[in-house]
Order: sequence, then C-alpha cells, then structure tokens
Amino acid sequence: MLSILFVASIMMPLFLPEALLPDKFVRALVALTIFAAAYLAEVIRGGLQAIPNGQYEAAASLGLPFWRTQRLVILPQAIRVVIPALANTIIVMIKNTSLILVIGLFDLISSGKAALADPEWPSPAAETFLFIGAIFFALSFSFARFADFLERRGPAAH
Amino acid sequence: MLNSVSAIRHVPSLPMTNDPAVVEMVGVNKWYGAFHSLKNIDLTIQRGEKLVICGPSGSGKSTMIRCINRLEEHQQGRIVVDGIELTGDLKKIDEIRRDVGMVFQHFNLFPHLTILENLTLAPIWVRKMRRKEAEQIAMHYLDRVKIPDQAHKYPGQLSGGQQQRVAIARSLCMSPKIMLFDEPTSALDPEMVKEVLDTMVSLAEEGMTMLCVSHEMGFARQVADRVVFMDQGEIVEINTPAEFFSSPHHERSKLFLAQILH
Repeated sequence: MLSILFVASIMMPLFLPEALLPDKFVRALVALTIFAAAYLAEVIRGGLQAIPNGQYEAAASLGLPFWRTQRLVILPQAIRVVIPALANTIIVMIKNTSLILVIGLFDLISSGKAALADPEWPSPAAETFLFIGAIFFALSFSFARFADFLERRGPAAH
Repeated sequence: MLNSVSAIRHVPSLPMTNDPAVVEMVGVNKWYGAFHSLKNIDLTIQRGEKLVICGPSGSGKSTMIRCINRLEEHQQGRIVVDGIELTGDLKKIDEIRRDVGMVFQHFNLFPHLTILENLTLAPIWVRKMRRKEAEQIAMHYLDRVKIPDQAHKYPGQLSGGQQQRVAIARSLCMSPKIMLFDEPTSALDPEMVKEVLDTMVSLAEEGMTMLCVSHEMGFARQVADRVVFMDQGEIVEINTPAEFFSSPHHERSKLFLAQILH
C-alpha cells in the first residue's frame, strides 16, 4: 500500500514530464484503486472456487455459453459467498485512506489536525478527534449493516 | 425459435424404421492420463429409443453419456448427435447441448434462483423466448412433474425427490430431443425414488429418446428397449432387458447381476 503510494507520488514525477503528470490527488486515487482492486479480485476468486463444478455442468448442459453462465449462474452465487470478506476489505480500505498522509495529502485525521493548528478554531482537541472518530464509525458501521442486509436477502444459505 | 404450442404439446415418437440414428458413436476412446476410460465404444441410438446403461462403478457409463453432450471430451472416434458431429467447434457444441437434456445425480439446480427461474433461465437466454411464454411453458412442465405449487420456492426448500423432478422439468423446458440421465435416483432417499422413476416412466411413454445410467432394474425392465452393460470402459453386452436379466450372455454380466440382485 505504502509502496504504491510512494511510487505514485515520488517515482512518477521522475519519469514523467511536468505537463503529463496528473494531479497528486488523482495519482493517490489511482494508487488506492489498484491496491483495492488486487485485494477484491482475490476475494472474488475465493468465491469462484467455492462454486461446485456441477453448477458449470448444469449450465453447460442447458446450452448456456460461457459468459452467460458466469453472469447468470456463477457470479451471483460466488459474490454472495464472499459478502463478509468483501465487507471486510472495503472497511479496511476506508480506513486505509488515512495513509495518503504519507505523501502529503490531507485525509480526515490530518484535516482535523490542520484545523486544530488554526488559532481561530474554537473547539477543543478532544471534540475534534471524537467527531472524526464518529465519521469513521458511521462509515464503517453503516457499511457493515449494508453487508448484513445483502447477506440476509435472497434464499437462505444452502 | 419455438412457438409455444409445439413446445407444450408432445409430438408422438416416429416409428423407428428407416429413421436416422439420433446418436451415433463409432470407435470412441477416452483416456484420463494413462487410464483408458472408454475403449472402442460403438453405439447407435434410434429416435424414441430408451437405453438403460448399467455396470460396476468406474466402468465408464457416466463418462460415456457425458461425452454425448461434451461435458467430457473424447480423444478418438466419432460422436454424431442428431446429425451434428462433436468436434472442438464451440458453436456446434452449444447447438447440441440446447437439444440434449441432462439430469444429474446431484440435481445441480441453481440455488440462488426460484424453481420458476431455474426453469425459465435457459429458454429466455438461450432460446430467446419472452419471459411470459417461458413461464407458461415452465408451469406446464411443473404441472407434469406434479409440483406446480412449489414454483416460487428455492431449491433448498424442496425435498430431494422434488428437486430431481424440478431438474427433469428444467431440461424439458428446452424441448430436448434426447434426455440423458446420470444416476438420477442414486442420491435420493429410498422413499423418494419412486416419484422420480414415475416421472421418467411417463416421459418414456411419451416417446422421448432416453439414455439412463441407472441401477434401477425395475425401471429397466419396464421401459428399456435395450440394456447396455459396461465394464472397465467397454460395452460388454447389449441385450433386451428380458433376456439380460434372465439369461445374460457374458460371464461378467452374470457376475454383476448376481452381485446387485443379492
């Protein structure tokens, strides 16, 4: 994670001329996306392996072509199996956004710190950090509940 | 595309004489690594014929019928299904699979779809039927297998026998020309075997071409035109059920029958 961010923020300017270099924020975004994609792909792969061969055979015997089979038969089941793991990964990614601090961008926490550094800022430090904590909690908790809802939807696990 | 009337009404089987073979296997060989699982299989099946294939475990009976819709690949020989030869051509394979129904030992229903969705999936996406029409046909076949009231449940909520009847109905919704049964009753509780066999018997009576890998000897006696006995990847004997059960020609057949009939 950190190494990808460093490549994006420090190495890329060494290779690319100023004019072609995207904004630092965009580079961080791409780095996070690549990182998340690799993790999510691995989770989905786990789900695909959980689908018994009989499902492929049944779909094949009905004449469904490969991509139709994936879309209509395999993926709906595979994704369902990995909903808990997907939720985990996504919540970790939400919290990982704080790491962009190391390349000098402001995440939620560092924005809070910056605000505290402002002498005009009225509220005490504890309040600021509690509020940031509440935002993280709200994001993670609501996503966990959403995953729970997805898991309960549809047929009972067989 | 099918029109709904012909899909719902069953066309009676044509007389067997001078009708071209619907499945033709000539000199088929298959290996799993060094293991020779099918040895020089020659088998011709006429339209409307019912075959029961039996034999000890590992004799290649499942492998043979799975070659007919290319769930397994054969390495040598020719398999022609309804005038189309099975080669590496994916288009032709899909074409054959559309017209060859298969029922598995473990049902293999799609657990994330309701019964009705299981039945309409292939007609809608493969036959490009409209949903309404597909549902009409699906309900017709659910009626035939006597479980129309379960249409909106999920497979996990049904008993084994009901699931297998749904699997049969799912295949029938594609109006197949041939039905393959791969030990359809061997994963069922004993009291559910009969309901599935009854469905298969009524299907046979309507003239469907059927290949059944089965050890249900009562079923074989009742509906089979021929019994195929396989052992160690070879077809040992092809006989009428009456003769096969009373006076089998081969030693190996005799031994097998003695073992399964206790």
